Amino acid sequence: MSDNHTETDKMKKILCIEDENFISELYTRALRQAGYDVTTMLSGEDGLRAAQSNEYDVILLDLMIPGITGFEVLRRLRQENPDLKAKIIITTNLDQEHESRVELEKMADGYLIKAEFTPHQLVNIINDILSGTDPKDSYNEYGDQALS
Amino acid sequence: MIPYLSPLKESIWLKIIILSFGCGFVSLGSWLLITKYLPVSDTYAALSAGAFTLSVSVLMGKYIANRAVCATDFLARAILLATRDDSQAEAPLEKKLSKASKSFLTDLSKRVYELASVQQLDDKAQLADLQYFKNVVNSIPLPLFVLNKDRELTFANEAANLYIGMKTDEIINQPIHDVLDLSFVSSLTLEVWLNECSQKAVTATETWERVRLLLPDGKRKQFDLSAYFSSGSSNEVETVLVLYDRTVLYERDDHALTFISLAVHELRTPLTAMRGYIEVFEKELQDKLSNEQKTFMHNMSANAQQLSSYVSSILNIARIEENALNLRLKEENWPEVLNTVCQDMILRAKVHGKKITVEIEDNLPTVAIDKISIFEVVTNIIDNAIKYTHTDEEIKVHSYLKDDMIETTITDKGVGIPSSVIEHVFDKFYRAHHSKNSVGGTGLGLYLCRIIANAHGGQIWVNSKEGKGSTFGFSLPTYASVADQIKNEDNKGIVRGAHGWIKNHSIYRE
Repeated sequence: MSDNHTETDKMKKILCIEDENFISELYTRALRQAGYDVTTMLSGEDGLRAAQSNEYDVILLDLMIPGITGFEVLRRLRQENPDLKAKIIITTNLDQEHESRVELEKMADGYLIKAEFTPHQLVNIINDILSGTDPKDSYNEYGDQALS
Repeated sequence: MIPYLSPLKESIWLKIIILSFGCGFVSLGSWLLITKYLPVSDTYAALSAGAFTLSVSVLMGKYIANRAVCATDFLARAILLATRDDSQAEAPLEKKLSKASKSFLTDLSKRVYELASVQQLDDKAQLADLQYFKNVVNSIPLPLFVLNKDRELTFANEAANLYIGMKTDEIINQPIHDVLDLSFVSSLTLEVWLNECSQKAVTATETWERVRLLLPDGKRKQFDLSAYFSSGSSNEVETVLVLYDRTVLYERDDHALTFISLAVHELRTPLTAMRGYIEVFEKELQDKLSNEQKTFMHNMSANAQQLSSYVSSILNIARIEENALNLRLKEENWPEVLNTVCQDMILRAKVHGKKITVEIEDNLPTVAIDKISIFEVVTNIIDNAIKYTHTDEEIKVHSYLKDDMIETTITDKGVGIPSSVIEHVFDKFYRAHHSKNSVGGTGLGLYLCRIIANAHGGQIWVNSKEGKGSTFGFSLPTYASVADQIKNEDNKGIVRGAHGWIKNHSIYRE
């Protein structure tokens, strides 16, 4: 995977908006090993600003972050940047009520509970998204339910 | 002709006779006078006399017509005035009347006046009645809605407007399911009940508890609902709904559970990091670890994963008790679903040195299920069978059609369940007997299974003998048996809450 990226000299760029250091460290490490260029932002404001530069292919967005919430970041990105090329995946440990989750899923390209995925499983999902197979309906196949 | 009118007729008749005679005399007289005193020819005299007579008779005729119409005019004015017509007719004047019609016309108009004033009193009384009932309905502190035959709102009292925070003109003539986004605990929703009523009932009443209302601003209300249906009464009043608000009471539990949801979030964060680090070590230390250490590493990873699924289970329970877990029922091929999940379980059984055989009856109809939730049911039951079987006896999965349900049983020759506790195995946090220490578990698995099976409209049961083994079974409705609930829903499936929360108008809004 990493060979492919370096060959074409176009490393796919991932923005990780996550305030939990341990988690962002793990995600960054696993994604870099898989050949991705990863940037981490710790707050909603910084995350939004970085995302609006439109240079990322995938945005991992936590919902409970300092400053403006992930929900607000998502809403503003969709409203202000309709031509955003990045796929946005919500990564959270917060379970939404059904209604708000449906609303989020409409705006995002994926929604996953962090505790139910290891960094390696997350890498697989991102590989699939970037290779064009949209795993939106089948995240559970990566998560614990099917692996158990 | 009524005798009353005879004097009037005679007087008009008399006038016409006088007019005719008068005209005769006038023409004769004028002819004589003209021929005697004026030096004109006979023809000219006759023409002049005729013209003079014509002018006189026109004037006389007009006078008689005026007199004759007086009676009708008087009566017309009297009626218009009495009925408060807005044509601004002046009051009838008695003195304009001819003697002949005076007495009976005044008598007649008196009667008209009397009649009209009685009517006016009635109107006033009715208006007062209406205002009275309006006041009564509006002073009822319970929200009250009235629906017509087409299930559109025709009336909402003040309490109702206040309760849903909408003005009368925003809701009147709107379909009820557009105004009130209701969820019910049973499959008998208001909509289903109304459908039944309109088919066969003349009058019917029904009461629901724990009905949920989601308002446009995102606020939720919970209440008990009473409905009265009457098909014959009037097109505009077919169904009356009364709401008894219980939001505070029913939400008291919910607040406690929100704490669990938050706690789950807090537990998951370190768990995510732990699982991440374990994965790093497991992958990167592969070559450096002894076989025993590798096993330990694997166990650590498996336990962390188990912990994360327990955390999710606990949240699921919390959800179920909040009644917020929604199932999305879709048409599925049951043998396919069951085989998929059994393949996973066969692998897991293998690890524990157990064997699973699957026997599925041919030509089973499709089922209406939420695949992910049903995975959980099958996995949980087979997992228990693996855990509680300490021999190499095989575990049998059998699925067959019974009436319009598909039943699936999982039979093991394991330790079995003592008869004294068997009725509790589907209870929350209940863990059977002595195996507590030797086998890990949350005591939530079978509780979840029961909730999920019931939410699908199915049953779950167990037959067991201590020391001989257990048979767990669950039933699921065939798609055909619930298809009528699903057909108008854009193929998106029906949403059904665990505990059976069911949307009143079950369109899956996504």
